[in-house]
Amino acid sequence: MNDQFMLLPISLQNRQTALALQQCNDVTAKFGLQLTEPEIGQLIEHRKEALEKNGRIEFGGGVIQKMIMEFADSAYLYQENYAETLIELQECFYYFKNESMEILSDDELIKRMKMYFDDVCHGSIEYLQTTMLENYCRDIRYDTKEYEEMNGYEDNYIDFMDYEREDW
Amino acid sequence: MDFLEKEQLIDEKLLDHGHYFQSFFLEVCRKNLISNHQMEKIQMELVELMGKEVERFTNDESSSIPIEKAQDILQSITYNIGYFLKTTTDMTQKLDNLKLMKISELYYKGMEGVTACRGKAEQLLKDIQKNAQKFNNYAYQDTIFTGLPEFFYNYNMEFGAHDIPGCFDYPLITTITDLLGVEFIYEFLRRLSLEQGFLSHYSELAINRLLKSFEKEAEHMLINIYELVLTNALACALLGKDSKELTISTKELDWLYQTLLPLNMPELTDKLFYAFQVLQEELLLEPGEMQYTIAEIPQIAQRLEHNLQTNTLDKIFLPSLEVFVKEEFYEDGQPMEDDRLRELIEKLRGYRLTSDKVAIMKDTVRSQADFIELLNECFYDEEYEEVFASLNEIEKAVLKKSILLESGQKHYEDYEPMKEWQRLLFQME
Repeated sequence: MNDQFMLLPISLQNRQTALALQQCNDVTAKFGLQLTEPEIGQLIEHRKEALEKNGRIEFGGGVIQKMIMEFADSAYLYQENYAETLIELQECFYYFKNESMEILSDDELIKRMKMYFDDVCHGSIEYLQTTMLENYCRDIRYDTKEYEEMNGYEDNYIDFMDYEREDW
Repeated sequence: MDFLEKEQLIDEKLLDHGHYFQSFFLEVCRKNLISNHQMEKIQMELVELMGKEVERFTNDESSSIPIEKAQDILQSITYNIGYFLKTTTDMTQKLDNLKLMKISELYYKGMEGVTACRGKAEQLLKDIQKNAQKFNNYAYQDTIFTGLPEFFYNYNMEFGAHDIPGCFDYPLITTITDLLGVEFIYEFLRRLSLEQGFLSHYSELAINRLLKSFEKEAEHMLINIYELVLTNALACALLGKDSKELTISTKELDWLYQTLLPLNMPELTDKLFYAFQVLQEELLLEPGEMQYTIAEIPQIAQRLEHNLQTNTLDKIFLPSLEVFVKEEFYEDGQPMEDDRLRELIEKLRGYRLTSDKVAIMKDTVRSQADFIELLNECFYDEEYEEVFASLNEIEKAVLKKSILLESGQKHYEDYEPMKEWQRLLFQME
């Protein structure tokens, strides 16, 4: 009886998610962003992989809709990189959901990602992932800073890294 | 498909009672007892319910959770559903419940049942705590007064109904293997209560002596007290003596060995059943206790046969230590401070007459440890007899017991004295 999830039909969940993503297109159209059917398929497929990779399971439409709604007005998103960026952001999200030890809610993490993505990272997912969120989640885990009050605009993280170097 | 056919198709005994819903559902699917449409409906409802429960678990703050937690929540849901399905023994009724009722309905009804079961278990624990005797066994005391209450404190029937939080080290005579969650605890408490009911016919003193006979440090061991008491009580019944003291001498053990050795397995079982009848007449056990005990007799017979063949009857019928003579009337006092004891030793060494030394010792020494220290340090050869003559019978017996236990032996005949005064003491009648 170890494989409990054999009781849950995954294909049904995927159908629900695809439907929800199609509905998102109505909202993102005004920002010039649209997901095609194959892109939706890709997103769902990558969601499955990202969840598996990070040892998580998701119910309902998933977090991707929320992410689309939050990032739709970003200056760094345009039709050509839209689907690709969403796939990377999605993977990034599940990874840092684990790294933050479930302390951050979906909305908090998405808002934080958007804030860094638009301001400090200037649309660079690599910088978002390897520096900003990494340090932010480390602070959460070790409770080293008042992470709830950080806004990401000042050089908090640079200071923190300098401090680490001096220590070495 | 009629009732009898369904009964034959799903064998209740083959279902996993710890994961009842899963095994029942898989069996139902395997034997095509529900249509594909019904199967899909059940799965869909399960996903829906799971989504709702995850939402509740995360306070609607997270749509995804770690797989381990999701497994826990799903298992908790299926445990509650399984609990409700188990409430009826009629297989047709079970199938109808699965087909006609909504999964969420089954779940909430199961939760009601789990809540009721938890209440019954809590009451049972209170009764057990109220009637608990003080046995010298940490596992027994800790399980009843710490481990089991911890379960009720930590048990979460919404997201961990199948969990068994808490520490229950005390082993029952037979382990519970096929139950989880509150069902496990209820069954554990039910059996513990029956064992306790049986043990209540014997005094704490007799049981604690028996534990000491089993092992010098029985208080630290994970042993089932009921089993030890039951086997010795059966032996007493076989010997035709009152079982209340639970004592068997080495001679009686020899007699049992000679009597039981020629018997084969069915004869041994009959003999034990006969002994149990004798015991029942003496103790007048409750029907529940009686059934519980009767169920254990075949296993005891098997062990007995093995012990007879290997000539280790003393491992099942525990011979009592001779040193328990009137121990209950003796109470040891406080040992002296080291400085005072040192002064007393110096003082006694200065006396010439043994009678003076003995008189001073009797006036000042209140503990056995100090007494032994003085015997070692201040008395020599012929003086020992005079010292022992000043002791009464109880004091001598307690001193002998203490020396014997310290040496790790159970019987006088196995003991080899290390010192002169010890040799003299054991030679005395």
